[in-house]
Amino acid sequence: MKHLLKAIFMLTLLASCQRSSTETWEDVKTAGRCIKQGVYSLWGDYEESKEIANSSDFKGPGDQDFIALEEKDLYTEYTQTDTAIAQAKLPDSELPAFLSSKSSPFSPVHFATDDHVIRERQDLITVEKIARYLKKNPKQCLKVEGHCDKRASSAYNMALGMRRANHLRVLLIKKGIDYSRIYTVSYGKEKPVAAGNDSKAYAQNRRSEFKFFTKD
Amino acid sequence: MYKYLLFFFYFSLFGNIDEMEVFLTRKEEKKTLYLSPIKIQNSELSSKYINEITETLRFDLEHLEKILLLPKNVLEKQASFFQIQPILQGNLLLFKIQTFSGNVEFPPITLAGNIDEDRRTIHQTLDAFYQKYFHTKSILTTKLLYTIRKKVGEKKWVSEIWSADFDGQNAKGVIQDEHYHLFPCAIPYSQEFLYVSFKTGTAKIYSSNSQEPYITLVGNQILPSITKDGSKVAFISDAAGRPDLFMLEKGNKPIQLYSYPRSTNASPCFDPTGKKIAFVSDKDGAPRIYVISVPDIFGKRPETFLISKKNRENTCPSWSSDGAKLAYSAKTEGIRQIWTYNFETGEEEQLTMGRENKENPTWSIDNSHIVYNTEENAELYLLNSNTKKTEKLTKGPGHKRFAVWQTY
Repeated sequence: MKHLLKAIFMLTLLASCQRSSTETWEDVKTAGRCIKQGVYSLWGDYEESKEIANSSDFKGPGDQDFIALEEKDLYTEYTQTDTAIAQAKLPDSELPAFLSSKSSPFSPVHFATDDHVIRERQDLITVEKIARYLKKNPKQCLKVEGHCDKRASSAYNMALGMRRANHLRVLLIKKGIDYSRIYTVSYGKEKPVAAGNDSKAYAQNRRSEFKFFTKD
Repeated sequence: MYKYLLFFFYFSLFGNIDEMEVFLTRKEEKKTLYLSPIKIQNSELSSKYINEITETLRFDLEHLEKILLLPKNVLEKQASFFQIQPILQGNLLLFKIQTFSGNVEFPPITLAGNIDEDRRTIHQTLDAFYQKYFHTKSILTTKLLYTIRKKVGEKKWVSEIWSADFDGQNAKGVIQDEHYHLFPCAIPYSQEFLYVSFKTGTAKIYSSNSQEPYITLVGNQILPSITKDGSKVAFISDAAGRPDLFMLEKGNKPIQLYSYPRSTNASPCFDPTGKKIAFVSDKDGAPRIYVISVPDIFGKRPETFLISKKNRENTCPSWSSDGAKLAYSAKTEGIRQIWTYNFETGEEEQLTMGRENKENPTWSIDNSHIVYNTEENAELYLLNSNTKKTEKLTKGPGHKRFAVWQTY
């Protein structure tokens, strides 16, 4: 047993000596995240890694116009915060209405740095209110915009904004709104609302906005 | 104890080794060239104009990969391999070119008196000279496609697609309207290009030759990359509900190539063979650059090979046309700098310094230069990937970004 422990220690030491301090630090953080998830699940908090009960948890199109990946973990891991529901087709006839979609009375929701999940209570209430509004107004459709602050590159931010918009879309679909009534667009960091270079301006720019249009 | 060490080395040797194809290029010595001051004989062109012509000559010669342009005041011009004496007779620009093997005949240039036109003629003439001696094209006749973001009115911004010569001159708008266009993607050996437009309210990829979306898919499509033969396009789309890596092969359905729980994927870039894709993903935390092989059978997630290990937040990969290197932007001590990864040595090298954030590197066709844009002043810069010397290419109003090289 003593020899085995010595061997594990030597292997770990030799392995980590091959890596730079940056690489080792990144690995420590990844390990920390995994341990945190494990500890939370001991207390019954399965938020990050709950398997969905059945396929009716998904409300999306059955046919895909693309060849999809079949990896199971895309549909089972982190489904509370990372459910993916395929986009709907926007009919050409709806384009004029979509293009002139108007700003809503609902305020934008905000995100933490590099995050795509809304966590503030006020933001969750906003989403709830939007869901209720859409249920009361069945002809109203929604465009969700994803925005980012300026600190990452333009290209990456365009994808992150896409992530944020889709997260809001999924939240609303899970609250019972039909998937074909919600569309997303990302503007990355192209449309900031605050021009500064401080944390306050960054926080204001990391947002999703909501715009409504009427479908015929 | 030693038994355990042996075990360790055994597993290291027979562990999972990814095979990477590497293209090796032989480094040739540069030929020295001395450019004499221009001799003026009966010319009515203004001295300012003549200076512009001289500067164009120097700029072009400085950016020929196999030539080392000697400084203006060097005394050992007799030892240089080439000596070029430009002579201006009226509006005729003659070149007396001497090499070790004797004098060389070279066709004169008739200057039109229009600096943009004359610059272009000089680029073509020197490129012809370069091709004659080195049997390869230079970057002098290549063009750059890029975007300019401008404010129109109080709150509205537009983003247009522009084209310019490799030196940033002769800039002209190619797609200019009231809409927002980004991420031009040059189709090799063609004037046609792909780009992303928000004109229908969502992001779609278009060809410069058509008003209809290039890819028929729900959701948004951004960040296109095309293979050398134009047969495949990789892009990012949320058609499946996440920003995933997709690929479209002509005549087939789009394929969801890569997706990962909780990850944001971005910036795909094909290698010269079209068999590998470098892209950005934050699947392991901070955004890093990975390489995957394009699979033959789809449906299963391909294995990733991590490229960028030194820094956090690595984005915008660009593969050199010889496949030997990848250029990208990496956050270095808080500032985004341009780095390269060498597939042969596995080493990452920092190419730029300075306080401005830099992104969107793009390789020239001969792999000698990289164009990138800064973020704050949003101008384009030309970087010699060997000497690391940088020149500013653009100026004036508007944010210039997302440059790509065009060759046709």
